[in-house]
Amino acid sequence: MICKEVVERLSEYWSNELDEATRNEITAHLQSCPICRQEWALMQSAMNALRNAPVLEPSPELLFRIKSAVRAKQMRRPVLIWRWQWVMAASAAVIVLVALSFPLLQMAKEKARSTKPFIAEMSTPALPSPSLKLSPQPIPSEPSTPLALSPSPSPAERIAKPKKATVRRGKERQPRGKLLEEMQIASEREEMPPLQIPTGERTFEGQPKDTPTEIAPPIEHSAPQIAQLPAEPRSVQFRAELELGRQGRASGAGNIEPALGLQGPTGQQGVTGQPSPALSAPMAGVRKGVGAETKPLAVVEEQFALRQQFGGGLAQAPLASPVNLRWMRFEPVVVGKVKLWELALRAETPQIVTVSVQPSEKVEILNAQKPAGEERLVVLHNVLPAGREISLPLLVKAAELGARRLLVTVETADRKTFSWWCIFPAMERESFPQLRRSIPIQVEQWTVTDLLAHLAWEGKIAFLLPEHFANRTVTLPTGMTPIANILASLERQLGGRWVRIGSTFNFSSPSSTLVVPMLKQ
Amino acid sequence: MQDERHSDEALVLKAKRGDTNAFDLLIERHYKRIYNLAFQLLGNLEDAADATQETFIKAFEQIRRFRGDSSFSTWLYRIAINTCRDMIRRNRTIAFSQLSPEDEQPDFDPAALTEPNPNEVLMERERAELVWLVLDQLPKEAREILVLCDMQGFSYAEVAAILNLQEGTVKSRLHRARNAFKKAWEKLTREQMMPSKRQKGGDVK
Repeated sequence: MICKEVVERLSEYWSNELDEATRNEITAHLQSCPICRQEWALMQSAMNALRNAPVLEPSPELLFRIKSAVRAKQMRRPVLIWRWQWVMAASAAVIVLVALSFPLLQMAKEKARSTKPFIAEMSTPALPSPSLKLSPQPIPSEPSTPLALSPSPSPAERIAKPKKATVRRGKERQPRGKLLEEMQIASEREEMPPLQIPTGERTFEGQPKDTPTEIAPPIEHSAPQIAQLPAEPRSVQFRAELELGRQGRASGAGNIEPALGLQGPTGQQGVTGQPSPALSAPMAGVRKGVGAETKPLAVVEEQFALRQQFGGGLAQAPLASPVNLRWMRFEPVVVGKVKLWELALRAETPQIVTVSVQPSEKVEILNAQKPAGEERLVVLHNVLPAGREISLPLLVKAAELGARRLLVTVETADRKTFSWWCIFPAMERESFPQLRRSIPIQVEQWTVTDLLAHLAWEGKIAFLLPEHFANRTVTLPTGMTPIANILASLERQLGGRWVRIGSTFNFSSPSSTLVVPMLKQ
Repeated sequence: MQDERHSDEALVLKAKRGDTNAFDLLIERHYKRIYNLAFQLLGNLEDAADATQETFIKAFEQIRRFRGDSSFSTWLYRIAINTCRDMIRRNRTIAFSQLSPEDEQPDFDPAALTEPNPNEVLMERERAELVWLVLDQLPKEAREILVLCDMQGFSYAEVAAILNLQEGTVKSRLHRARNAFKKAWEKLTREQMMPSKRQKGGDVK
């Protein structure tokens, strides 16, 4: 055997796939040939490196992300199937008319027999479009046609079969069944006591980092319950403000004395405790950048932390039930990719909340569901236990580059609504906040949302802004201005604080109230 | 584990009937391996996560069409590999578009943090990283086959089923791929061992 041959067969030699004779030959050759021996050593080291490459442990969020994405897909199905049945029913009705006016029953029967197996499969389409083409076929799915016109039982039985299957399927998936309505009422009754917590609820006690077991998608819970909610116009608009987050920045609103006794006893320690190191680092940066120019703050962080969890809302707690929203997890939105966000939702009194979203154009929330007969897209309907955060996952997908918006509305059982704007950039690829960057300001007067859209895009940051600030006007000096300065200026003009968590900014207005907007202004 | 009792096949049957919990179990069972496979094929953590997610979405959408000709995992891997192929194709076009001049250096570059400090690098880790570098240099086919056979440890028959090839083809491709890997490995390890020389070479050029 010559060297070239040996070297070529080393791979098989290594994985022991050669017959014994060849193997012995190569072994003998290796013993005598130092060059081939070197090649052999190389093959061994290369293959060992390949085989022993470390096995990666995916982040715990991945599992959650996959499951929610799959569920989001699943949730879109019922709508399609519902439409399907609609089309089927409509076309079947047409056929009834046709069949009544023409004595072509025999032909219809023939047709039904031939298409029956096809129909059985058709009840699980992935896309709605074929349904339109196929609409003449569901003749057999409408029992009234054959039953009314043909007394013979055997074809009717046969024909009724696929229809039965469809109906059952519909019942399973159909979002507004009476059954579900009842189930939901029952579950509400069960879940009202704050001690019984449904899935999806998340606390921060002790561990701010989530363990995988804790991550249970609340969507599952919410899916069938949504459609039950009324779609009437809301009579009273209430305002909520943001929780100030864990950072515990003190502010001028310290003079609103919150009655500490009102705070729920559970779940607070975890949230208000020391921020995790990962969070505190970027926040320190912002404090340097933004805080330097804001009016002096009374920094008694620990003491104020609790108070600020509730913003000014706590003082008003008897009047309204404040609901707070903040970023919990944020993935920069890259065009065309599905990203998982989580907002943390929290109330001081137990609530049943319905969270809906209203994405701007070119933004899609994949886990949102549209209850029949309603305009809004609902993402969550769940019990919110007092003083604890529950996670609100959003699967976000943007279709085009640019600053994008999303209105998140939380409606409580007593029909109070609280809204926030998410303003974020849809980027070409993930990018990191660029707060030090100076950007051109060409106009003096801005509405807050326009300004934030501008900042979101330029600074690659995402904002969460209570809705009642959205149309306020702010004035800025024109010229090149660092993003951090603009944010500081917004704080002064709106009377609130930015709380940064990673690439996200929560606007918190401890001075505003829930019932009367802008008390302090 | 409680779900140990259910075979993939039983879960697939349930999932076909629309049981999401069964599908969840399938996800739990396979996502780590799919994630690793995707990483080995793509060489990027974020893309690997995306590919894993996409794989399961596709699997969920198509599970009714899964006839059970092969095992579920083979079928799933086939989807995963196709997803990764698509992604590589897509990424290639992105890579070009990223060269646009309006790009600006970000204030904070996380890559700077993950870049290993030469003094702290452990031999073991270096070697693992070298594997990715070498794999990156190989043609797509060679990489796929090495990943499946040598990294994921599938048998020839399984790989043949996943890639839709004859077993003989798998074998011959594997041996060719291993030789290619060895060659690239040799070149890179040599460069790594003599970094000073490499720098000098750069200066001369």
